[in-house]
Amino acid sequence: MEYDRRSLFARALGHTKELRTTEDEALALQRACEARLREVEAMEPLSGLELAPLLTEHKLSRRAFIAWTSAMTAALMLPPLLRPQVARAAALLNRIPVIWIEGQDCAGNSEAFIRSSGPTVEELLFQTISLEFHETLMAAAGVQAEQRKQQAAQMYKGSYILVIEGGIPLGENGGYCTIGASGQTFVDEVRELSGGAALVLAAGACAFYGGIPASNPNPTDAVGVSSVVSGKPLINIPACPMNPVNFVGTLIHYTLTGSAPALDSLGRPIWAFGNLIHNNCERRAHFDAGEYVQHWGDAGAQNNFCLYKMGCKGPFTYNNCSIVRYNEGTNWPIGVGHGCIGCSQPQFWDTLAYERPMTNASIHAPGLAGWGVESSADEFGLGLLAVVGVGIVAHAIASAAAGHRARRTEPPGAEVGAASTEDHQDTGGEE
Amino acid sequence: MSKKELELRPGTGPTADDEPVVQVVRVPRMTATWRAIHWFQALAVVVCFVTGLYIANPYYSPNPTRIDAATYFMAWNRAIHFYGALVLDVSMFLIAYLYVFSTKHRDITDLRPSPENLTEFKEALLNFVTFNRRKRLDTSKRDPFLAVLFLVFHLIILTQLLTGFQLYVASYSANISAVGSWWPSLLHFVTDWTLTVFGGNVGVRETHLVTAWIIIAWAVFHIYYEIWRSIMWKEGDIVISFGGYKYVKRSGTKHG
Repeated sequence: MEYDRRSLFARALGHTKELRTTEDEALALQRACEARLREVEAMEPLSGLELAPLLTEHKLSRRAFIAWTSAMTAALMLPPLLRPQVARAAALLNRIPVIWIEGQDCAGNSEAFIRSSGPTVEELLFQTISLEFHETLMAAAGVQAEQRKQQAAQMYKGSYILVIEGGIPLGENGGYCTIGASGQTFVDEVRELSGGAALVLAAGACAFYGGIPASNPNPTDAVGVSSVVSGKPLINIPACPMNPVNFVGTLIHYTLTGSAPALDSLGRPIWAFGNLIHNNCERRAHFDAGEYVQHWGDAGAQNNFCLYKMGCKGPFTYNNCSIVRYNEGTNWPIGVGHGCIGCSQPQFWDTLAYERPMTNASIHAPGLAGWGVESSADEFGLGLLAVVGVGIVAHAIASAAAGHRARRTEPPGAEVGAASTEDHQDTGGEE
Repeated sequence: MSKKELELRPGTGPTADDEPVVQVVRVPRMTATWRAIHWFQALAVVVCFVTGLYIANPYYSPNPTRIDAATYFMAWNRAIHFYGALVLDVSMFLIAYLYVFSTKHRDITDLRPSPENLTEFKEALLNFVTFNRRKRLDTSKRDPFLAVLFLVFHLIILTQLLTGFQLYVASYSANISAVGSWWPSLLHFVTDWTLTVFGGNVGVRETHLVTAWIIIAWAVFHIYYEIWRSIMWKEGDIVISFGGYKYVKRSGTKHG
C-alpha cells in the first residue's frame, strides 16, 4: 500500500501534485534516457579506460557496483526503474571530455576523490572520465602542460565539460593568481576555457562564491565562477570539499539527459542541495527534545546529543551529507561529534563557521566594518532596550518637573481649557 | 477651577443654567474587535519573544544524564512560537483590512498627509517633547502621531512576518507540507526576495532576531507613552485598551 503524505485537508482542497512519479512518467523518462544513452554510446571512448575491467582489477564486485548504482539512482531522485540506465551512464563517462582547472584553492576537491581508503566507485569513475587536463594529477608540467590544455580545448571545442576548482581573484587585474609558464591570470584562463565549454561545473566552496579566499576582508577580491562566467550553463557543486557523490551524480545526470539538473536559486542541483541537512540529521530528535551538548566532552556529547549549542549550522545549510555522508558513507562531521559549519552555503567562513549559536556568536559582522559591530542580536537588543529605558526615565523625570512647574504657575482653571470644547462623541474618534 | 468642581457630573451641580460646568464625556476609542486584536497581539508578541529566545539559543535543557523520551523542549517552543506568530500574522491581515475598509474609523485617513494631519502630528510630537507644556491638540480623538506610531509597529511586524515565513519555509523538503504543496510554494513566492535583500538565510535570520528586539523596544515605549498620556492628560488613556473609552473633561454651560 502506498503512503499518501497529503492530509485529508489537502485532499479536500483539491488537486495537488502527486508526490510520487507514476509508472507512465517513469517509463517516458526511461525512454528519453535510452535515446540519449544511444547517442553517447555512438561517441568514441576518449580516455581508453573502460569501467568494467577497472572494477574487476580493483576487486570491486558486481554486487558492490549494483549497490552503488542503486544508491546513486536514489540520490539523483530518479525512479528505481532507471537503475540500469544509471549503470550504463556510469560506464559511458569515458566519452565525456573534461578539462579541470584550479585557481585559489587547496586542491581539496580533487583530493576528496583520490584520498579514500580503497578505490571507490567514484574514484574509478574519476579515472575513466576523459580527464584531458588536471594540473594536480597530470604528469606533464610547464609549457608541455599548457600545450596539452590548448590542444584539448581545440579538439573538444563546444563539447567538453569545464570543471573549475578554486576562487578567482580579480584584484590587481587578476594578478594574485597566475597559471603556468606564460603567467596567464586565472580569470583570463576561466574566461578563455569557458568560451568553448558545453557545461561549466564549479567544484567546491571556493569556486561557488570565492570561499575561504573571499572571506573578510577578501584581500585578493576573490569571487566565484558565477561572477566571471556568463552565457554558459553553470552548475555549482559547493561544500568544502564537495562530495564526490554530488560531482559524479551531476556528471551522470548530464550523460543521462544531456542537460543540467534542476538547480536552486544559487545554481546548486536540487537533488543534492534541496534539503537542509538538519531535516535528515541523525541527531535531530535530540534537537527537538532540547537535548544539547553544552561543552565539548560533557554528558550530552557522550550521549550524541544535538550540537546546535556548539554552533552547528545544520538548520542553515542545504546539502545531502546527512544522507550520503562522506568517504563512501563512512561518516560526516556531525557523526564524529562536531557541528556543521555550513560549508555549502555562501560566505560560510564569515557567517557560519563558529562554535556557538548565531545569537551567541559575538563575531565581527562582515560588511559593517567600521561601525564597531561586535555584538550579537541579543546584545544589540539589550542595548536598544537600555537606550529606550534611559530615554523613558529621562522623559518621565522631565515631564514630572514640567508638570510640577506648571501647577505652581498656572492660573486656576487653566487645565480644563486646554482640551477642545468640541464634542467628539458624535464624530467617533473610534479606532 | 477647584478640585471639588472638577468632580461634578452633568446635572448634579447646584449651578444656574448659564453657569460654566465641567462634564466628563466618555469618548469611544477602541471597538471590541480592536481591543481583541490588541490583546491577542500583545500576548502573541510576549509568547513569540520568550519562545524565540529559546529557539535562538536554548537556555534550559533536560538533565543530560537522564534521557527522557517525554520532553520535547525545542519542539514545544517552536510549535508555540509558530502558533503565536500565526496569531500575529492573521491579525495583521485583519488590521490591513480594517485600515482601509473599517465601518467605524479607517486608520488610513489619519495617515493621509493632509495639512490638518500634518499639523496635528506636529502638535502631538511637540506635546511629547515639551513634556506636555505645549498642548495645542484635541486629545480626545486619535491623532496622526499615534497613527504613525502604530504604522511603524505594523511595518516592523510585517518584516518579522516575511523573514519568519522565509525561515519557516526553509525547512520544508521538496515543497511537501501537511496541507499540500501550494502552501510552501506560496511562502517561497512571497518571501524569497528577503534572501536577496537581507543577504541569504543568515541575513534573514539576523534580521528576524534584531527585529524581535525592536518590537520589544517599541512595546516598552508604547506602554510608557500610554502611561505618560494618562498621567499628563488625565483622561484615562491607559484604560482605552480595556474598556474601549477615554474620559475627557469638557467645559460648557449646563445646556451648552
